[in-house]
Amino acid sequence: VFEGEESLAAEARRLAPGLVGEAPSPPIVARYVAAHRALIRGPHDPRQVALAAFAVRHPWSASPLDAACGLVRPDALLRRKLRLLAAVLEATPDFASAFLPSAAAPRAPLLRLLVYVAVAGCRALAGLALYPLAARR
Amino acid sequence: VRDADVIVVGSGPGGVHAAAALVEAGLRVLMLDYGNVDRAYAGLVAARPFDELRRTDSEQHRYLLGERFEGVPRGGVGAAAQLTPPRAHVLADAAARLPIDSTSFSAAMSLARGGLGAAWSAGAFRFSAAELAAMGLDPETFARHYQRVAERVGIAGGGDDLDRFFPPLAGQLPALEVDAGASAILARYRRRRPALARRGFHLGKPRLAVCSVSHRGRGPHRYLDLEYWADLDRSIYRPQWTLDELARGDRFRYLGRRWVERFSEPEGGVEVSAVDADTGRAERHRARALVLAAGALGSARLALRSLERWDRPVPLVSNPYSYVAALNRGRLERQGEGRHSLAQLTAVLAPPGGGPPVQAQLFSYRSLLVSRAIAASPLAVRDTLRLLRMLQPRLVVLGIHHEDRPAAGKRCTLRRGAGGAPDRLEIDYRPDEAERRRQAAGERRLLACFRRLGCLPLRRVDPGDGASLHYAGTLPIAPGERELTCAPDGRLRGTRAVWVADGAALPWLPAKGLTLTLMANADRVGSLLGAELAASRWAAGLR
Repeated sequence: VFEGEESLAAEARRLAPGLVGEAPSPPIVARYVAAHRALIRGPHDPRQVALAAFAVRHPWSASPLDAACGLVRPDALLRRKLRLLAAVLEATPDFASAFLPSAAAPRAPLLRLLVYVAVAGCRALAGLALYPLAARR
Repeated sequence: VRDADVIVVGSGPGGVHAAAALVEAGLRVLMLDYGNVDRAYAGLVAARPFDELRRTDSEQHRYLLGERFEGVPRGGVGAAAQLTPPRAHVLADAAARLPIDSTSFSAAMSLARGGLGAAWSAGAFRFSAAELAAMGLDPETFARHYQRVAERVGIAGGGDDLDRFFPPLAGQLPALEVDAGASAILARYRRRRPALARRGFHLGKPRLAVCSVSHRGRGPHRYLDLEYWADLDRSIYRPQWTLDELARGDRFRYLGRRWVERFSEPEGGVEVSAVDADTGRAERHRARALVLAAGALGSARLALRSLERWDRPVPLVSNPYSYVAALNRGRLERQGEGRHSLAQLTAVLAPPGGGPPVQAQLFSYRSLLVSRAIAASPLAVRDTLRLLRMLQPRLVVLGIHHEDRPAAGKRCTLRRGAGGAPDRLEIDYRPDEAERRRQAAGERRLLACFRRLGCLPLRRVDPGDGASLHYAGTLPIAPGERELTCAPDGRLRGTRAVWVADGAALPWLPAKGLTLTLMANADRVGSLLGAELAASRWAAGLR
């Protein structure tokens, strides 16, 4: 069962490292499961379920697919899951440093912004290429 | 038997200052209020800097996310987007008690103790003499009421280029410190002041209802950066603080958990029908006069229902509002000072060639969670997170206000609820295209000035009409004897003893926050009513 408790817990453990570099502790995983139950209710589009399941099976694909969904399906199930996971991770001291701003203001901010946006664009292109395969039921 | 000399409905900014003036006039006041308070989160937030809480408090998820995960962002930015779980009680129950039908306007109403003022961002801006005169209010008289309210509230700021727009009040408190980003923008502004002044652009520190130093037992502000989460030092003004002061006197009585249904005017006074929200028990309260201060929409509902004017439209105005995220590109000289999440700077654009002024508050994106911004971003979560972490010290958010005037396309109408269902307020808010174009042009001119200050606009967010939470003009002060308008003293025409002391009475809204002015107007209405009732009591005593 995709939305079962163990599936959701596995999802948190597998997707979190892509956001904050490591898997969360069991209480944080449990919080994600509870929040998911409260906020992300089905039924979902089967293609979106397949896409999310693909990202969980292949965590390296989560960010490119997320970026692609931002272009073609902003309310995609995968995006909702990742946003929820980010919110849950942010509200804990374990991962606060991954969310709090850098200590110093960056130099050449515009250049950095352009580089980041270019990287995000490449990621989206990769995600778009992967999307049809990942969303196959 | 009368319960009091005057009944005040609502404990928001208007209600408490009308009540304070009435009590000062020697009258007995009964306040009827729904009075929701935060019972879930009060006490969870410790008095430590927000960054430190984030790094150390293992219970932070309880107030950051909420016990029912109500603080988890859902995407998009709408009305009251900045409300966090500890502030969410401000909007609780209102939608069920007073349902609103609208496809063009998001209205947020409050049944909280303190009303919308319980989550106010504390911008305290005087209306100009010309603006007051255009509302049918005497600027000289009004200045006294600004002064009285400022003393109760505590207003910080002044001594800069904005004094010409917001003349300082006696006893004004020192401005709050600003952070490194705002400080750099202000320094750049000082270097380019003459050129920007020619464009009508002026920048300074905001006038805030905050005790930067101790005032009336509140503050001083401690720079913990907890403004969105708690009121630990009571330095930011909330109407509840005035309510607490009033409750210490013996001429004021507060009845909470009351839902006011209607009023009537039997011989010799007013009668208010209310329901105990917990038991459902109906009750009636009598007094010589009634002051409506339930908010512009709440007071309109009460008046329309009590006077049986269902299906009769009344006007509605609300400051159009937008957010613009911008990158502060210039050099930042220092770090770490002035850590607060209230407005850091205020900009006023008053085009020299005429045209409506535009006002903006500049905020640093600081103590709201990054996940809120992630939810509104079109990029992948991972990319947004990295981008925001890197840019956050340089990210500023402009909250831009435009003026609003009544027009044929801006109306609200009370529809009678069928079969015991609550009445529904139908809002139709459709400014014409010319108005939208004027606002867009004003915004472009304002952003051009910010570009010259090194702030590069990145993204504009339109949260939709009604998102400013500034509502007014439903029972406006107006000349003539038109029904459902107010006389200049605040009395509701078509009634003998009902006064209006909230935003409902302000006929239009300049491009700035209305809260200070509605408090001053409430003080004025309370003073006038107090003097009238005290005089009639004195005359009755003579007889």
